[in-house]
Amino acid sequence: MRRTVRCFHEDFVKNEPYVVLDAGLRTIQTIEIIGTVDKCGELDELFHYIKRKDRMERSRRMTMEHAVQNYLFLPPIDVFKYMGSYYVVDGNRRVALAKEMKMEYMDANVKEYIHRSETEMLSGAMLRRRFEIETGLRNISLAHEIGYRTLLGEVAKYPGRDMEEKGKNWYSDVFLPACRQISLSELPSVYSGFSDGDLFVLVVGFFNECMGGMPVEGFHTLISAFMFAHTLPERRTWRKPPFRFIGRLLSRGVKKPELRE
Amino acid sequence: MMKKFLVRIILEEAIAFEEKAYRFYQNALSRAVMRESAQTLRKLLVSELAHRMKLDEIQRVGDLAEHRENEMIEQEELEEIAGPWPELNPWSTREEVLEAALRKETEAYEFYARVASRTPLQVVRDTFRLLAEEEMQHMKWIRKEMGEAQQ
Repeated sequence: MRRTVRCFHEDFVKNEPYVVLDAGLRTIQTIEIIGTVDKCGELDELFHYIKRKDRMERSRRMTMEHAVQNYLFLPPIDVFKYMGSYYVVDGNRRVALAKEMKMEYMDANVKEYIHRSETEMLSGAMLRRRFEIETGLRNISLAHEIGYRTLLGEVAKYPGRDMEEKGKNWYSDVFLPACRQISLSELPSVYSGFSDGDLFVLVVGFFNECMGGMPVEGFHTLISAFMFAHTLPERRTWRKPPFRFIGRLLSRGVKKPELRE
Repeated sequence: MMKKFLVRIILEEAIAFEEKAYRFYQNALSRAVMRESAQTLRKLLVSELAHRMKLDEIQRVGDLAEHRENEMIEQEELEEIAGPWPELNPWSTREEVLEAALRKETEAYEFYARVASRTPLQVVRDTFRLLAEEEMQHMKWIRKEMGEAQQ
C-alpha cells in the first residue's frame, strides 16, 4: 500500500482552543510542506494523485511542467501552517511539481493555526507579524520566532525616516552582510537547527545584554568575541602552534648563548 | 613584511592576555563571596571583552601597512603580560581578588603604555594608548572598591 501525505484534519487537535493568524503571502520551504487539507488519502508522498491517472490529469501536469521549464512563475499556493509544517489548501499539483523539480522555495498565502496553550509559539507569531508589518521585511525566517523582538529593536535603532526605510537599509547594510559572516563562521555547526537569522539574534542579544548595544567592530570580530565568551572552539590563525611558539619566544626574551673560549 | 608578521603575533599575545583577564573576572564573578563587588567585576569583564574585540579587529582588518622608520617592539615588553594570573580558590576574599586584579591591571597598563610609545604602526599605537587609558580607569575603579571594602 502506498503511503499518503499527512492530513490536516487528522493532525489538528480541534477540541483545544486555537487562533488563526493570516500570515499573508510569503516564501516557504518546499520541504516543510508535508500534508493536505481536503485531499486526504488521495495523494501519495510526492503529492501525486493516487487514483487519477487519466488523460486530463496527465495533460494538466504536462502544461505545468512546460510552464516551469519555460521559466514561467507558478501562482502562489494556499496553505495552512500548523506546528511548523504546511498543509496545502489549494495547489497540490504545484507542490508535486515543485518537489519533483527539487524547487527549494515556493510562494504561498499562509494561514497559521496556533493553539492558545502554545504561548511561546503564539507570541512568536505575533512578534513576527508585528515585525513584518512595521518594517515591510517579510523574508527573514527565524526558527525561534521570539527573536523578532530583537530584530525589531535593531531596526528601530537604525537611521532612517520611518520604520520601512530603516528596515530596508538595515536589511541590506547590516543583516545580510552579518548573515554572510555567520554562514562562513563555525557558528552554524555549533548551533544546529538555528538559521543564520537566529544566530544573528543570538549574537546581537548577547552584546545588547552585556554591553548595552552593538559594538562598532565588524561582525566577524563580534562572532569571534561571542564564541570566546561562550567557550566555543574557534580557529585562530595566529594562535596556531608555530606562531604561538614565536610569540612565547618573544615573550620570554631569548638570551643569546654565552660564547666560551 | 616581517614587522607586520610580528605585530600580528604580538596582537595575538595581547588578545590571549585579555582572554585570561576575562576568564579571571568571570571566575571571580561566579563566586558568591564577590557579590558586593559584582558590578565592578562585571564592568571589568565587559571591558576586557571590548579590549579583545579592539585588538582582534586591528589584527583582522587594521591597516598595518603604515610604517615609520622606528625600532620594533622590544622583545622583553611581552614579559609584562606573559605572567600567569593568580589562582582563585573558593576561599578567596573580595579584597584578595581586588588586589590580584589591581596588580594585573597595573602590569597591563604599563605594558600597553610602553608598547604605545614604541610601536612603529600608528593604528596599533593609538589602540594600545586607548587600552592603557582604559586600564588606568580599571585601576581607579578597583582602588575605589578596595577603599570602600576597607571602610
